[in-house]
Amino acid sequence: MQALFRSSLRVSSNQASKYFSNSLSITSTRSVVFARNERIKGAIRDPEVILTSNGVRYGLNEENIKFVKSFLQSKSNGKYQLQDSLLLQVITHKSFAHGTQPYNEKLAYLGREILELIASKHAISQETSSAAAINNKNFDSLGSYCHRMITTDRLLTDFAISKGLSNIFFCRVALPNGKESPSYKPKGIFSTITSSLVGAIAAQHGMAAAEEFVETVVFEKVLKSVLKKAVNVEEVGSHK
Amino acid sequence: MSSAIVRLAGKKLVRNSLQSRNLIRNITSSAVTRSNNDSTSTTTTQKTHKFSYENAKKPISSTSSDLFTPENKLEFGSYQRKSTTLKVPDSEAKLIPSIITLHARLNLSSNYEHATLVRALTCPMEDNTYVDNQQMSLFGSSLLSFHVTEYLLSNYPRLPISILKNATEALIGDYSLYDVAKNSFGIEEDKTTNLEKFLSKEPRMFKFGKLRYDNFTNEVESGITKYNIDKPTSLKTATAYANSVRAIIAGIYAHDGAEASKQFIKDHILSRKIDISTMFQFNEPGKLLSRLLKTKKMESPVIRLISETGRNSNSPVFIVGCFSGDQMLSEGQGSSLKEARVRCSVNALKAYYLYSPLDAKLPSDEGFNGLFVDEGESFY
Repeated sequence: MQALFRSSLRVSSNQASKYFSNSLSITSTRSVVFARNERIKGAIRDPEVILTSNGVRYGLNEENIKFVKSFLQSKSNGKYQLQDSLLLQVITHKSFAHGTQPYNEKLAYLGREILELIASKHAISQETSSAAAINNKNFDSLGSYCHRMITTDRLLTDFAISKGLSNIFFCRVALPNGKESPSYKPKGIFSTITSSLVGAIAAQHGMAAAEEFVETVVFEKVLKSVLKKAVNVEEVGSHK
Repeated sequence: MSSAIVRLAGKKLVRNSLQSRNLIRNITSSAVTRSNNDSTSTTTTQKTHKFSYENAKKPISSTSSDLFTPENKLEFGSYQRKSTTLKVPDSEAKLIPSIITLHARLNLSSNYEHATLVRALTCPMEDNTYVDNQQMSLFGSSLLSFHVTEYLLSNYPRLPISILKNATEALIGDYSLYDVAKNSFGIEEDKTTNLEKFLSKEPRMFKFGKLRYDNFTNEVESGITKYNIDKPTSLKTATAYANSVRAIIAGIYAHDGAEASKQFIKDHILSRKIDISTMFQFNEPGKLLSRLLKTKKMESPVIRLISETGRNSNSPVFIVGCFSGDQMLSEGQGSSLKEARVRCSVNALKAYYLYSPLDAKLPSDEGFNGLFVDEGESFY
């Protein structure tokens, strides 16, 4: 009980009493206590804490979606623009608020399939003089280190961070000490921003638009990083 | 998600009557046999969505000495496999009877070279110098996986992700494609030895018309000692057959374009019937349903008895309905009130998760106008 008093508590609704003219009757309702700081066994956590990620309160407003929205507006005269609710879903991860808010898992799943397909299409449609090519499509590079790297979580996360899409991202990253840190960006979670954005564009505007978006916007940055990483790997390999 | 999709408590449902016991046994046994025989539909065996050749044991990477990598790593057209240099020319491939029949049976266009079919049937093997289907099957697999995913997401937008993965696996997993290759495409594997081929005076080229791979032997007959003869290229039978289907589809993409390959996948893969509703297993359907309705801001569920017959006999039937406010969500029948109630909740949950829009268009279709985007599974 002492622990309960030490932490700051908020009492939302207390005994409500009703008086009637002819006879006195008291209706008492249950008290609900929200615990804010330390976890107290049996106490309910304040929903406000759960709906806040890195100090940003969840909600559908211009402030929350401004980064993603302005990014899409700046590409191809706003051809890939999405509804506000969909944009909010793109920047909400499953881990946020126990999955009670619309989250991006399925969009990311679709986006991941699209990214992998387009990476393969990109690889086989390059000009080739290979004798093993079928109808001028050389399949030999598929599954190679560089081809596989295009759709890795690491590079998709780098893309989202470099374009500022992760500035406001609703997720719950559980560090061992139970705290949050703005610098800790696990790639498994943050890569869903990029992939779900691709998935959302496909869901809204169709596969052709998504393909164009991936080829012109995503791959422009990602392929450069692939080149950089591939060189590094070779240098490391030569030292061994 | 794992908390939501769990086992249907079949045992607990059964009360007294023999009839109901048999009924439940039939249901649960069918679910069990399905999960045993067909690894594609279980929720337990397949935890991550990976294709067989993408596992950690067999990483495919350019560090393997087999691949020539150009100076500029992004010139994907200049990559070249070193070991596979020979190619069966198209003119010779056209003389192989099984290739001609396969070409005709699959109704492939005249652009589709017979030599590509030969390549699709050649898996990577030790000491093989002919071009193989390894990379083609990789491409075919991403093509298949995309088309199946967009089909499932457009037609069943509310499927939980684990069921979605299982359904994908049921359509394009190794065992399903093995069935397609063997029983629908009629692909045969090359099992005869060189001596048998010589004795039967079979022309040398005819072996290219059959599926060739290094067989991965897991078990040997009793009394036989197994030496470690498995090679890095060894494949399981199902994987080898499945890879040939994937490679054939990649060939269609290369020769006839994306539209033709999409149509082929629609005709041969998506046309196969899979029973998604049996993939659901709810442990506490009543509790799950009230949680679901709570998150959808609907009134909590109430089960009401609609009709009954033979309450005091040995074969009673009860029909109950599940109501949220004035709306009836589902109906369930059973030989005890409890059984009927559980079935009713399960039906309500399935009606929600298996919602399917009418005339759903796929994102890759012409005239596509937006997808029903699901909000995801709310946990509590």
